[in-house]
Amino acid sequence: MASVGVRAVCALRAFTPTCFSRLQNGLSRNFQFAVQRNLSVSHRVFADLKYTEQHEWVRLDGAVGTVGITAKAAESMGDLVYVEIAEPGLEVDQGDECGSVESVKAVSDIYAPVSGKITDRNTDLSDTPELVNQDPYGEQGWLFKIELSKPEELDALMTEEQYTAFITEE
Amino acid sequence: MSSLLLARPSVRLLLLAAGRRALSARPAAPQPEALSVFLSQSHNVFTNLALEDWLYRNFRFGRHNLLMVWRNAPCVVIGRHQNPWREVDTHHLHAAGMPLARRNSGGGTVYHDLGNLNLTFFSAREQYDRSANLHLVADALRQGWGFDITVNERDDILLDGAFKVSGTAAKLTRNTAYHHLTLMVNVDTDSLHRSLERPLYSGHRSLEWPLHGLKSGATESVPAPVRNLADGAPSVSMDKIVAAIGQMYLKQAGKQASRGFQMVNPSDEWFPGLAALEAGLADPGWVYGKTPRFSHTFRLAACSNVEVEVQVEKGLITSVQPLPPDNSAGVSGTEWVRSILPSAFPELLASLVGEKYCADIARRTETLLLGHTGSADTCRSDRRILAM
Repeated sequence: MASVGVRAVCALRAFTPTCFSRLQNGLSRNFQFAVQRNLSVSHRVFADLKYTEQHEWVRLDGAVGTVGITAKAAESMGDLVYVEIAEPGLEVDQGDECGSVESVKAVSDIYAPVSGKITDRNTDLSDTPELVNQDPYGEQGWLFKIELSKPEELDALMTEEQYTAFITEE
Repeated sequence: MSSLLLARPSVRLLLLAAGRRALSARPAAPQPEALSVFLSQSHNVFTNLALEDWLYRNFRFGRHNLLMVWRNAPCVVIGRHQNPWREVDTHHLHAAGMPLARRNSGGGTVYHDLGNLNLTFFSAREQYDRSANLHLVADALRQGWGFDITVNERDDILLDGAFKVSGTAAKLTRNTAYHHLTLMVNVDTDSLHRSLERPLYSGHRSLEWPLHGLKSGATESVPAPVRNLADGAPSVSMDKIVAAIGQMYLKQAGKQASRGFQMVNPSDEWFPGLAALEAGLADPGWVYGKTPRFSHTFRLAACSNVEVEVQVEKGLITSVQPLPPDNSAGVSGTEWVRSILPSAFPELLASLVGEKYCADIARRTETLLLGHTGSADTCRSDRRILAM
């Protein structure tokens, strides 16, 4: 399905405005009922992504946010060889260290983009850390889930547009 | 930041200058206006690692950057996510009185002694440039002694195109980056090879328990042929190497930027909070407890070659299971042991759960299974290894 193909391609690069409009164009060519279904799926996958200056993203689903690192971060780190995330149950404040990733180049700290309690972490990453490089935004490469204690913190994070501008500046 | 006010005047000036930087907006990789070289007066690996930690936590680099120069008395240092039992023979290190440390940056296992020079380049995160640092060191060595020095794709510094004289690792945090590397000037290579020899036998010499049955996701070292800079170059001495590299570093931002060499005594008085960092690094809960989850499978020759699998998490044993052979359908491990060794005590294996894993786990398992008591537990003394 064309829309799925476009979605997969978008996941592999930094999410850009042209990517999103291409997604919308692809959708409008589908059948009416498919458009309904695809719109809601694509909104769930790409909408509500907020970004931090430490190149992390948060995707909100109800009261729980999924956190990962951006494609730009994964690319600059190189292949990850080890991922360590704090244990579920840990309460963190925004900006607290809650894990580290090691690539062939360096160990980098992971920070909590929002305050809350860590509810889940991606255990697949302990055996296959390179999933983060392969699928940084998706089902395989996410790092941890956090139950937000202060949802208003999301407002101060960067939108996809602001993040794109941020990384182009550097 | 209030603890910084307790620091001595010269250090305080350095800290205030760095602190002013914190008020400015996020810049695009500015060049530093001042550079210093700190020479640590300590030879204790935990103290020096703690000092590195302290500097990256308490300084805001960017306008004033730092090169820390340090050496350690003989010890072995493993990378952040490594498995010490896979990398070194922990019993041998203990017998030799050599401390084992785990650093915060990644990479592999290294042997340090006073013939090994450690260099840590501190900068703001956006200024992090590993390649530039390595080439700086390479240039200093080439210009001073005419060595055939190259930097390869793994970021190793090679002598004569083949011998590794340096290993590199780095850590990146929100605002700061540090890149440290080792440089073999005059290392005792016999001691190095003995210390980095991976154990083939764990425990009893008469029984073979190869550690190749160790499965884990921990990062592994990549061995390479090594050589000292001083081999075949009599004019090389540690002091001269330090001077050459230090001067090359200080010249980078122009003459007015150099703040020169500074002897640093890493004490809690000068660096408030250092003692706590040092205690954390020397704690077995860090050195051994940070080991990624792994399993170790071995055969016990004295118990009819029964295969046992031990699972270890955070350095503690979480399960000890005898494994029945593949063709014995439905038989549990315990039943299998009872069937081949009626006098064994497989239920005693549960007492190992929660205990600290140690290199002679196979011998301990055998002792329990056979119901033997009173044999000296070499692991107990192993576990008391701290800073020496």
